[in-house]
Amino acid sequence: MSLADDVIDTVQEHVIEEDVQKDKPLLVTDPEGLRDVMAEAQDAGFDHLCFVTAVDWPKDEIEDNAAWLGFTEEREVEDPDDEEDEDATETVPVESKGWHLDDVDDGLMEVVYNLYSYDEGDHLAVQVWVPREVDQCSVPTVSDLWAGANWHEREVFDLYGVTFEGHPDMKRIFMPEDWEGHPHRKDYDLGEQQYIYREDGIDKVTKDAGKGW
Amino acid sequence: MARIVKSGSPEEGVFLTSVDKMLKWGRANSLWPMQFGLACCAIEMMATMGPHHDIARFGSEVFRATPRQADLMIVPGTVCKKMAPRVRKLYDQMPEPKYVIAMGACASCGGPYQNSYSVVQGVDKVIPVDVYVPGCPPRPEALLDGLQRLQEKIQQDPEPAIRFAKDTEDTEELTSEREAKQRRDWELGPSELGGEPA
Amino acid sequence: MTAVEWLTAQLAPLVGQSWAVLVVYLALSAATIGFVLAAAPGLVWGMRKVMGHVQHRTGPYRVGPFGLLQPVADGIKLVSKEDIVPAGVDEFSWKLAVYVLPVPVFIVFLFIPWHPGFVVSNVATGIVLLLAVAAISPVGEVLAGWGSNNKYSVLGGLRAAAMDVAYEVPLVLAAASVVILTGSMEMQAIVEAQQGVWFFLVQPIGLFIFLIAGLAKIGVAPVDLAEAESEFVAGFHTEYSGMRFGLLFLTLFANIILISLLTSILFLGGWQAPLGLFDGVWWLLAKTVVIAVFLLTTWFTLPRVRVDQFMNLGWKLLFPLALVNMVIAGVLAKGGIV
Ligand code: SF4
Repeated sequence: MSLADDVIDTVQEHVIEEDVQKDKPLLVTDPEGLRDVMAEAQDAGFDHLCFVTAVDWPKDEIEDNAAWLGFTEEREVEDPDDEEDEDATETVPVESKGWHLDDVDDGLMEVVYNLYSYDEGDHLAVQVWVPREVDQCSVPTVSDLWAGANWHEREVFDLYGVTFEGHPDMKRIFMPEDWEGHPHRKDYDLGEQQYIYREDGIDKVTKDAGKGW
Repeated sequence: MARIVKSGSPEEGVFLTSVDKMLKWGRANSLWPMQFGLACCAIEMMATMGPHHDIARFGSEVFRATPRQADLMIVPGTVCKKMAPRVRKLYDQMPEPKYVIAMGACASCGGPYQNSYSVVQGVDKVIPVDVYVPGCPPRPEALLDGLQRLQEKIQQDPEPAIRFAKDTEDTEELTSEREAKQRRDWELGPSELGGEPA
Repeated sequence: MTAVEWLTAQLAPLVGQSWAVLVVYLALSAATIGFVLAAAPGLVWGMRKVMGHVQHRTGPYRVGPFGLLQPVADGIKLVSKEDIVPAGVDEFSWKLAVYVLPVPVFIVFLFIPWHPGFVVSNVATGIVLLLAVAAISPVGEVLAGWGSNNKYSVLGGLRAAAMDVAYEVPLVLAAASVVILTGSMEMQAIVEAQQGVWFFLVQPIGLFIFLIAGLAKIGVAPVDLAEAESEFVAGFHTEYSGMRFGLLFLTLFANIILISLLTSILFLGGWQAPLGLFDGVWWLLAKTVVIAVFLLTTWFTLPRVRVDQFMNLGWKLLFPLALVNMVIAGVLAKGGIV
């Protein structure tokens, strides 16, 4: 029995979904259960947090990929009007990743943690799905469990705008402090270029190429 | 404002004009590039230094690590927005006269990183560029061609080779004048600089 | 009668003895230094060509025949560059350093015995004076490094000075063995003593030590630790631009010429011809070119060594070896073998 199964068994109440993708176990949890799951995983022997990342899902993209994501399901029509069409199916919305498609406003942000155990060579991916709006997009930090998560979480914050509650130093890591927007979000405006210049030893942002250079 | 002395304009006579020619010849044939690389194009720049292509033939193999001793800044690769102020700083540290070759699609216009949030769309947004070398990456031959075009450009430049600045203000004025001219030159194209390159 | 005395004697009836001495010395010094100043750019061309061919390239060939005008173009460019005095430098020492470094190197050429009976300044303690004057360079290096107000320059200058001081010791000891064999410190006497057998035959260790220490004094790869690009940008001359840098560049090449000349004089018989054929300055120059090409080839072939290894080599290997070599020289001299 692998470490991942151990973890899934112990924190059964927080597991919304479990799956195996490319031979690697994956579990979906909710923001409230995340810290329990991660603490449990660390106890179980996942000593390395490979990386933290995120996937941005605006509402229309979720709708386009609804079936693949599991937000809808094909079901056989129970008593079709047309007797001849025995196999007729209909698409029904179902709950997936802890979300019902109707509850989603702007879209969802999928935060992914990849865990690894040096001793056993086991992998485990943990996903949390949170609302995409910047003010609601937050998950608890795990930087106290794995110190390495510190910069990963800052990176995810910088590029996706996910806030990690309880993080000791939640600020941008790549972009200057006054950069507008989070560049890896799908609705980031690429048309309007922002430039960086140096002033008093720190990077500042300007819209005007050549300013302060 | 201090007077800016210019040498080599036609009314100053044959002697100064030939001195001017000589200075331009010297500068064109002794372009020492700055030793720095930004991305994949830098590998191709190194190949240009190697035995097969041998940038030394044109007197440019003396890659100086410090901007103070370099005349030519080959910008070999992607200029990230974070790098841009540093590139500008290095450029500012080079002594006049200084020249810039934008090497590759990235340095010329952003290239494969067109409309990226993190890449400057062409190094000419940051520093004035003399010669753009297209390609991704340009072959060493293309870089050598760019170098030769720069040599022609220097020698055909109608402006005087030496301008004296009396103080810092003067230097700044001369610098901005030259930068404006460099940008203008590019818009004019080679034909208006005194004929098509050979 | 030496050439200098002869010239003075010719001039003395016209302008008086003391004026004649002054004029002759000034003219000869100017001629010697002018010769070196002309030879250094030649060596720059030679270096770029040798480097090219060592690395299977051709080197410069676009300006002038065989690219011979390359150093001229470099010179023109360097003189006409903007003269940057960075903000924050200690102007006095920063500007002084570019004179402190080249001047001693050019002065020592006055003690070189070029031709039988011709040395501009034939002092009795020739070799000691020569090495002492040449040993001023650490002062210039520290001045330049400190004056630049740049951390790379300071570190580079200190390292250059440390290296110079460390390798001055084996260099001088190797020269001292030759003095023991000769029994005189006069440069001409050293060359004349090699009438029968050139000293590299009896002093191979001395030659080896002298070449390595000389390389360290010149400070080019494999021992260009003071200006290692990956560590110090360009060492103590990071902040110099235009002709100030040009002077430092010239010093480097004057140093190569100096070390090659000294090696030929101390170990290869100076102007002595092999088999007694036409002694003269041509033999000295030929030997110098051979040594210079050897040094240049070393420069372009070997990668940089690590600084601690190189300092270890100097203090722990070359220094004792030089002492042993001195003992050997003493035994040889006492035994009347040479
Ligand atoms: S132009 Fe192409 S090869 Fe050059 S830096 Fe850009 S991506 Fe790399």
